[in-house]
Amino acid sequence: MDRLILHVGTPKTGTSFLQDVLFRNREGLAEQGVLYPADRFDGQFLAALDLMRLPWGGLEQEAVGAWDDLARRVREWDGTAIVSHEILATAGRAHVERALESLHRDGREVHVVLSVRDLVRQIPAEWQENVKHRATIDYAEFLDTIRDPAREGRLASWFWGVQEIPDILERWASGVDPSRVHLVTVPPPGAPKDLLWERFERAFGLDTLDLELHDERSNPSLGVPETALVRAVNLAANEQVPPRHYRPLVRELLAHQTLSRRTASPRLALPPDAHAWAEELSRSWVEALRSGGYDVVGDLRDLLPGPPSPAYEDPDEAAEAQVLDAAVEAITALLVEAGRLRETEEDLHRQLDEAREALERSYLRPSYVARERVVGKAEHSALGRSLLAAYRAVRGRSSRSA
Amino acid sequence: MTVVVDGDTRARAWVAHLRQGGTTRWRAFEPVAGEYDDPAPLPGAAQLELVRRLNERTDEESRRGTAHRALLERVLATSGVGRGPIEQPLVGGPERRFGTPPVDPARLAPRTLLRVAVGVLAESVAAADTPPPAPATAGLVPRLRGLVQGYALAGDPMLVHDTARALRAAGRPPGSTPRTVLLLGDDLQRVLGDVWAWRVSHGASVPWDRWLARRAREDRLPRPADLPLLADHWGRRLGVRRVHVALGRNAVTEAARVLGVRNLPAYDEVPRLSRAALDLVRETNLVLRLMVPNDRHRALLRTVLVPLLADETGRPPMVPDGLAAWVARREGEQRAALARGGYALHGDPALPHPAGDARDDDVLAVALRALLHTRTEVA
Repeated sequence: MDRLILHVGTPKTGTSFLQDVLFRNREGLAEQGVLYPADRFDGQFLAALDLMRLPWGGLEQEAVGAWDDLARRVREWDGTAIVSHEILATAGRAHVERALESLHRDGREVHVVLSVRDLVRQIPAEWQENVKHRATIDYAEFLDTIRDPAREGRLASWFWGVQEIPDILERWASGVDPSRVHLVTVPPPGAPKDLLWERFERAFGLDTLDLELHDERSNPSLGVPETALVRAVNLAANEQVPPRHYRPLVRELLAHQTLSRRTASPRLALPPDAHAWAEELSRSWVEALRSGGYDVVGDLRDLLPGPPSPAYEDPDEAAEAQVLDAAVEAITALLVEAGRLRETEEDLHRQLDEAREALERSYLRPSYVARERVVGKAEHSALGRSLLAAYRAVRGRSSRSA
Repeated sequence: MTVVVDGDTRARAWVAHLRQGGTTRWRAFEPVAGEYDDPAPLPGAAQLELVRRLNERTDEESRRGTAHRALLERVLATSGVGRGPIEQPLVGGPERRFGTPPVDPARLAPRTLLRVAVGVLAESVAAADTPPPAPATAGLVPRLRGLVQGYALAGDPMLVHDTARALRAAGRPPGSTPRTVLLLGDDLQRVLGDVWAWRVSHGASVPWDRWLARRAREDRLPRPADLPLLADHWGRRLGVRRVHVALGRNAVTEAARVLGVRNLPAYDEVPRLSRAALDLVRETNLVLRLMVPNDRHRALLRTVLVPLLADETGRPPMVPDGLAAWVARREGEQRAALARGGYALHGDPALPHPAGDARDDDVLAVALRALLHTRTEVA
């Protein structure tokens, strides 16, 4: 049976790893009858931006027509098709309608997949994700903002838009048979490393397919001093570093490639005083999900938080020595990158000089020298300039700058 | 006859009331007997309030028209653009355990309504046809004259645009080999406002305050506002005597006079949009950028959105207090540099233009008027 598998969230549930596997194996999947429509790793992210008319620091210019293109490929495919991006969790009613209409193909079953993780881990992870996207809000204020029942402002509405599991399902799956709504729960800390992937395989029907697994695209997390450092960098540099430089230098180089490797530092956690609130909320979600009759791949108990962390470290009061250590590693990484860029620049200068020298040699040809002499004389008189202008107009272009 | 109903029915009755052109606020709404059993999901509070406000601004006869009804349906079917609350339910409407908290639509922030309005406007604009660019109309004689008596224009982009139009209308198009260059400017606040407005009208989305703050931080004027820089550039190419600087409110006339054109025919000035209208264009740019390629985006601005807002004229954007000293200093330096350079100066920029600001309320008011215009001009 042909299936459309719509994986619509949530962030920080292993989605980057899953999407990397799907993207790298897309040709093999196609040979096995499964379409993962994307020409670049972030192809489905761009399609989601297009669907939801969501500006994203300039990236949106690369998203023009991306959803329509993805939908066309899905409609034209004979077999199973997979669409997966976690920001789809925040789609509004009209976006969902447009998505389902544009992806519709007669006779194809629609399955909605939502991968979910407990709030106690999601809350600090979302704050960290905000910080990696230039946010300067401190952890205490972030917690106050999301705990405010009014949920006003961009931050709170985004957080609950991508995290409130029953609401996401109401928007995406209210017209779908519950047996075709698959909840993939992220196992608790300490579970076997492959367990989440096995759950994804089952939910997506990938377990019988031949896939090569890679681990290059997971979205690694930062510790307490590292997140505090990136936030401090945001406070100091946001005004001067535009998004197109921030993405490769801060998010990729500093956060993902450098600071995330410091795994010995204290991990971000929910403060003990917020634990009871998160637990109560989680229980109400689990109760609603249980009564929804959905296909649970894993265990809904995974969504119930464990006990509070006995050694909570507040990132707003991160130990200066630890932040300093992280900063030294960050500066070192930036120096290495600056050195690499200098070498690239020197190489480009060398190539430019060679091109100039080649051009100079061609200028020394006698015919060019003679023509230059004529033009030089003509430019000294009004008549000559007019004749030259007429010549250039007839020739169809001007060699003078405007 | 007023009836007592549950929240869901009351909400559905209000939706029907609004679809029929109703203007009653949600809090004051009392449903009359009828069947309100449409199973479709209820639109969000922002969509409904926007519809109510559009009805409020429309006379009764137009509200019954198909164009108005079609606009209302477009609003009801549009989710808000960018980040913000997903469809908010009505307070006192159907009960929900999860999701965005219910709200009184009359108390929604203008920004929330703007997210929907901008989405609808962008969809309307993106769907419009754009006429092909008008061909150059200069005849042979003006073109030949352009070869011999050519001139170039630079400086404030609005003044450059107006001057070029005026001189073309007078049979004096710019030539490919300039003998004279005319630099056009005004008081610096006005010129900076014009440069920002020009860029917004051509696709930029950077807010005025942030754009200006960055210029001040780098102590760098945008090139079209940096008349000494332009004068120096052209002075080296053509000689100082051929560089004329026309300043002030009559810069177009002054520039024409320099070229010996005494009587300018009527010409279309580029509209000086109000700060609120420019902010609406700026926000619409953010969405259009996602919907159409750059070339079409610019064409849509030129031929659809800016003409749609042509009546929304107003004062140039106000320089924030913290940057006024920087603008004043750069203006003083600019005048001194032009005087030192020995260029021919015409006109007087001494009279600063009054400036204007805009709040979300103002931008929303412009957006509502623009949406009502789309009923005939875009759809």
